[in-house]
Amino acid sequence: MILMRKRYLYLPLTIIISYFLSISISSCEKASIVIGTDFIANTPTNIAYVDTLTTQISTVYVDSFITSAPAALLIGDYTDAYFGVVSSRSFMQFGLPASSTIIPSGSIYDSTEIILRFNNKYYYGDTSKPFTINVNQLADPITLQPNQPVFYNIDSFSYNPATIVLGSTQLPNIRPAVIDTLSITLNGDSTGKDLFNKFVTGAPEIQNNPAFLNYFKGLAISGSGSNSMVGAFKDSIEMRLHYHTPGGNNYTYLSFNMTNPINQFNNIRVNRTGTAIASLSATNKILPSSVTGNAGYLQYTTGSMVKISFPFLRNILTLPNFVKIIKAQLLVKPVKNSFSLTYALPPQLILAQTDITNAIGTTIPGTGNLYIDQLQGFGTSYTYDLTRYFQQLIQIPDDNNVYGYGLLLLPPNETAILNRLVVGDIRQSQNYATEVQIYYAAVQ
Amino acid sequence: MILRSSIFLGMFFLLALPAMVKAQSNSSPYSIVGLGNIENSAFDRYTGMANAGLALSDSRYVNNGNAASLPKLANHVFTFELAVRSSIVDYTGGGLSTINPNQKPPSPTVDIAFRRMAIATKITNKWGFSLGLEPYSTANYDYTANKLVQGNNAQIVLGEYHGSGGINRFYLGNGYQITRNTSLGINSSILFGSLQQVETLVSPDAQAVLATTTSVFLSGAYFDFSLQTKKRLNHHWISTYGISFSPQTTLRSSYDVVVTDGSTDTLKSDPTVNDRFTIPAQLKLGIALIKDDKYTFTINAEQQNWSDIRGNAFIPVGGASYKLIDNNKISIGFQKSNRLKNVYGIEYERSFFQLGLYGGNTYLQVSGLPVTDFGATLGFGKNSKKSGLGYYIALEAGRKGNWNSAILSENYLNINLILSYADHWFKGKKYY
Repeated sequence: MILMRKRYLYLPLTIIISYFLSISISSCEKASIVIGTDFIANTPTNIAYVDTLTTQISTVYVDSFITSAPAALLIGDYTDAYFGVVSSRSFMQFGLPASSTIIPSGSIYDSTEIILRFNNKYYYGDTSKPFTINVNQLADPITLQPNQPVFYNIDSFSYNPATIVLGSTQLPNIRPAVIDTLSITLNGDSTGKDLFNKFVTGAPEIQNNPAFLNYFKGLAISGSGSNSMVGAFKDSIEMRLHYHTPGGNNYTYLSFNMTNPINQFNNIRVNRTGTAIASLSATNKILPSSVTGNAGYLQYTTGSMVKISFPFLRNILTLPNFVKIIKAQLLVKPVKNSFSLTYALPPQLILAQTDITNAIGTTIPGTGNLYIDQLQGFGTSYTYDLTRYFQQLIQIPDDNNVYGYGLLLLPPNETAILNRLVVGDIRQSQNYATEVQIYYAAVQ
Repeated sequence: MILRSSIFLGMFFLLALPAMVKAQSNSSPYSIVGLGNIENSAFDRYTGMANAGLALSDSRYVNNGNAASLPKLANHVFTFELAVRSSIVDYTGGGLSTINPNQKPPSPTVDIAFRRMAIATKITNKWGFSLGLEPYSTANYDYTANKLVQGNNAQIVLGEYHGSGGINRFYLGNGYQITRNTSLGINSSILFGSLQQVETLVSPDAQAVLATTTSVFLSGAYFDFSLQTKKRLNHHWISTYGISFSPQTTLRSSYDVVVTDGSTDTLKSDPTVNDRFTIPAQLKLGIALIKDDKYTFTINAEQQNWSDIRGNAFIPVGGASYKLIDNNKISIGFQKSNRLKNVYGIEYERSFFQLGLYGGNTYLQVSGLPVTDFGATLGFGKNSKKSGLGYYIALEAGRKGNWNSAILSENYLNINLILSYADHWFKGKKYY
């Protein structure tokens, strides 16, 4: 009985000590509870905001860029009030048909046509106007020069003067959403019929591709020079040699596809006469926005890109109690009425770091998150997170920006699209001026 | 038996204390304000009576709340007490929504911490003395909130707030019996400690971008003067009275702010700023009725005028939705004592059982509603028959917050364990 009573009296102590030991050993996670921001209003760290940082905008000349084996054949021309007369043509070669290359004797030649297919139904310009495409035969085979691995936008080859325009087609308008294929029938019978005869007779020129390319040197497809748009076409371009056998309705054709992708390239030309950036050239490679209508001009495919610099960024270090940039955003805004459905904005633009050489360097993550303000118009902008870039840039003692650090505005794929942007500088009205928003921590 | 018990207790504290020190994981959101949560519990043998021990005294347990009780300690006895508390906290009411969608709603949390150490003895027949260490206040919170941009109230980062630390109280208590029934006491304390808040700003991609550590160091002398007296009402009943007063006290405070780059790179480290912080005067009153040294009924009341206190930049005491108000508290307690005779024929207290109720306003008002603290207590203690060892377990179950669900409430259960050891000293052998 006494023993039982003793055990009873010490039982609470045993239980409590066991409990305490178990709690001591187990790890606990503290509950995280919100009781209102008012309780934390007096912390020494505040987030402050500044949007008055000066942005310096310039238009930079692009020497050249690779257009070999492009994602699309850019063909056409148009006149743009901001960028001038833009024209693009595409050069290519055709190889021998993959199937039998012999046409039965006695067959009758019908026609030769070029078939173009729209690339993702992309066009740039006014599709409501007539659109004319010309096909020219080249005078010389498409060959790279020694030490030239690829073709650039400035490269071109002469046409065969004997066939000024090999073929042409004109459409009253372009409706890429409805029509995805264009057909161009070659004029007359001479070129097509000569090619037909080679296949009937089994001529040496069709025995292998090198011999064929030396005979049929290639084509250039271009706009007429009076168009209002440039279209993009797939590289599945095809040339068809139509014929039929006598005494029946056995109509058929030989199909020639493009060969040597590296030898297919776009030649893009621009005439900036009469525009704000008319003086942009290989000898005048950068134009500040102050001399170009308070704007920067971006159309990489015609040789211009925009540079954005922040010459007074380090002044932020002198702000009261400044500690660190928490967030920095760049809002690139187009000039009022500078874009439309006809001249649409690039859907994506990247930023690449650069310096006084204006060479394209490391890119900033993100593609701009284009927002188009359909209702008011003035909210349209590309937004970039420059937090890390600014955090690094303010560490560099370059108070007068003698190193020329800045960011180049570029399309992600420089050669595929013509969409252009006219970037407003700080002298534009507030809603159309490119600006930087900086949130920084200030610790009292 | 004595040896076994001592070894057992020693091993327990050697093993458990290091873990107890670091195992504080309960979040008390309101502890972000002022000095944190000012400790209501005395961690002495009156905890189970709702801490209503102002008018009470004991021959072997130290009454922490009233130094005037010290002359009632047994002569030539050295007393050592150690208190450990585990708390289980659940949360209800407003504020439980979390900003971070990945964060789980808080569930009940448990922690354990060392709370008090005290020693006491009698210097002379009329002079009792004690010294000890206990928390005066604690801060422990962890939550997430929007960090708004000054001027435009934009929200670009979240703020994660982690608070810790507290103010400790090291005290020397002296009590002197001035008449047969009356004694005076004074607790001379040094308050010291630091309150630390780490504000971590977190970007939407969950990267810590800035961490600001604010450390507030406080120190200063703190006194409370007390009186205890008793009156025999009849053969069975005794009435006792206690009063304690702490004058307004100004603490020295200094502040350090260190800003790091979300990692270890220091961006800013300001020199220490010195300031002051005032603790208002506090008055406590207590009355007890004791029958035959067996049944005790007691009631305590206390008041402290925090509404007069002005904060400073680092210890805010008011905001748009909260402010400090006068705190007050009423406690009532009951105790039944089981007294026996030991092997020497001397009567001693073998065990005791306690009940208590308490309630009142804390020093905080949120959204126009006072943060109240109501609860009940239960205590059980037992002393060894053959040695000076004793243990005491007290439970405190309460709700801190408000019955209005608009503001957050903490429902808590405190489990207190107080270990006591009393032994004779300066009692040399006599040779004849």
